Amino acid sequence: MSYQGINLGINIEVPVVATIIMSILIYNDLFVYKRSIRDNISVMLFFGIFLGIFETMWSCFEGNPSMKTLTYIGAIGYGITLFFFVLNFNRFFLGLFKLLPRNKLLIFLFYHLPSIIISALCISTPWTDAIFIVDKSGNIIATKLFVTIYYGAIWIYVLSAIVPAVFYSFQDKKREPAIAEAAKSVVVFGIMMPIIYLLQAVEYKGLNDDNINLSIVIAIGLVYLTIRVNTRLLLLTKSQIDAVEADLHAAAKIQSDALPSVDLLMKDVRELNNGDRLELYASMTPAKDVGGDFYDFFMIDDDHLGLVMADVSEKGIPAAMFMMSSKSILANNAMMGKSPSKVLEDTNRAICTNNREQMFVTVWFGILEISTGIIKASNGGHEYPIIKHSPGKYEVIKDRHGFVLGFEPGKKYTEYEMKLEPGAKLFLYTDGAVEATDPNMKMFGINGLVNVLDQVEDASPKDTIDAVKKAIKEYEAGGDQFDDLTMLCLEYK
Amino acid sequence: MLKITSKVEGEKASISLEGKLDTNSAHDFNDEVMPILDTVKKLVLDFENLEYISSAGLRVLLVVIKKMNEAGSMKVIHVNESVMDILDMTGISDDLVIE
Repeated sequence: MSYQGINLGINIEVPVVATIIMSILIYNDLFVYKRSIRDNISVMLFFGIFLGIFETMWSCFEGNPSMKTLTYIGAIGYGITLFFFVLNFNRFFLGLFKLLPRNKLLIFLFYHLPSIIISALCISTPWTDAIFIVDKSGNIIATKLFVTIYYGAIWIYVLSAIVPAVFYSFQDKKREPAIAEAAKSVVVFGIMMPIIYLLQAVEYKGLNDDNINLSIVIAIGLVYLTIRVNTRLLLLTKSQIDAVEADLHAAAKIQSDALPSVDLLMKDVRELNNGDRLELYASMTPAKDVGGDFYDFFMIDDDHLGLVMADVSEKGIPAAMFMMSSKSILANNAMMGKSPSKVLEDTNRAICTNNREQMFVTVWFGILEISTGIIKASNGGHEYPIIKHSPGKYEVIKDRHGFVLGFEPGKKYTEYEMKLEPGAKLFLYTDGAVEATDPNMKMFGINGLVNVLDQVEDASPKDTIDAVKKAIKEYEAGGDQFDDLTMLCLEYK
Repeated sequence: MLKITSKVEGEKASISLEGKLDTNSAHDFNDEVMPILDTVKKLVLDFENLEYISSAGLRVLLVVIKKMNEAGSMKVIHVNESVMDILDMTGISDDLVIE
């Protein structure tokens, strides 16, 4: 194979490779990064691809007199797409630097008029010989007009984007990080293009226009540019996600801080007359960062302890916000010394007032008289309480349920009484404890819960809750905790 | 997870649910049932093959009950034991015609 032959081979392969590279880029751009087809980068890539195709035609058909029409099409297409590529390159970066002319006349003079002139010159060239001439042997000859006007215009567009870019890349990066970043890409792009261009020239032993493929230069430039732009986009998204996550953690902290501390309560209780008769423990494990479950306990007066177990219908941030307001409304009502059913009625009415999202909360509320062990309680759609009388096993108390809170104002709630004898335990929980599922989607169930409780019937409230937690974790067998898991256990001594 | 079959005849509609009405399927149920409520005065929900209803599902059910109480009437039929337990526990069964 002659030197000429090798040269021709490379000449065709290079624009084909460039076209493939840019096709991959546009695929990523449109389908992976979901960029709009009218986005400047997409548009530049499209022009780049067409440039590659026309350059391939140029390289293929040049020098073949019988392919004169196809040679012309390749050359004309090349001329037009290269021009529009550069035009877009210019508009993209001037736009980023906020340097685009706003005046309609200037836009017309700088962008529209040159486009029309160059397009007209290119398209008419087979008849006017304005830009290219395809001679008898099928070779393309560039005219003086091409070298001066066409290349002149190209350089004006490229330089007018690169000059401000050099300026902006030395600017204060902190003030306008996006612009500084873009400026840097243009500068690198601007340096890289001539270097690759020269490398090709060295490769082909001489600066000869016939041997140099602009499409590969542009393809490499665009690879750099799209990677920069997309990486930046990803980093930006990531930093936004990080910020949201940090907020979530802060919200979770606020939420867990809002739940009462067992230690503080026990300290207060110890100072009371019958203080040594109580032992209490509670825990909440949200399925997501924040949850909709809550427990609460507070001294209403020196002999009465309020106990709350509640579950908001949803999960995550909306549930957490709903939970925070429900919790304080309920506690405020309870502290007024109302009866449990009245507390639920008034809490329900208050929650309904501002509940356009139609969320609801199920609540079990009880008041324990410490001196006698009598609990007065009311249930607003919540799970059944479980009691271990002494002596005896744990038993589910099928109390009469009222309606869930937050949905219909004016609902009535019934009230009932239970008596804890010394040694009795009260166990309250949310549906996370009974609706935990095993890998076959079978539910743990109320029976599963009572079984575990019976196994540890002599344990302290803390050990009881830890045992249930452990049993549920084993039951879920490594699956994700699906619902919030909240429990409270009280021992009456 | 949840198969919803709805039949609308004039002002009457019946919807049967099959599977689990939980957090994942509550939105599907909501999207299916809400447009129907605009035109219907009598609604029958068939829970024969409904295995489970979670609090997210209850929320949609409550909205349906509220809307139908204003617009006409509704009833729920063929409720199995475990779903009935949940309806009882949440107090919703008091507000509902169940056959």
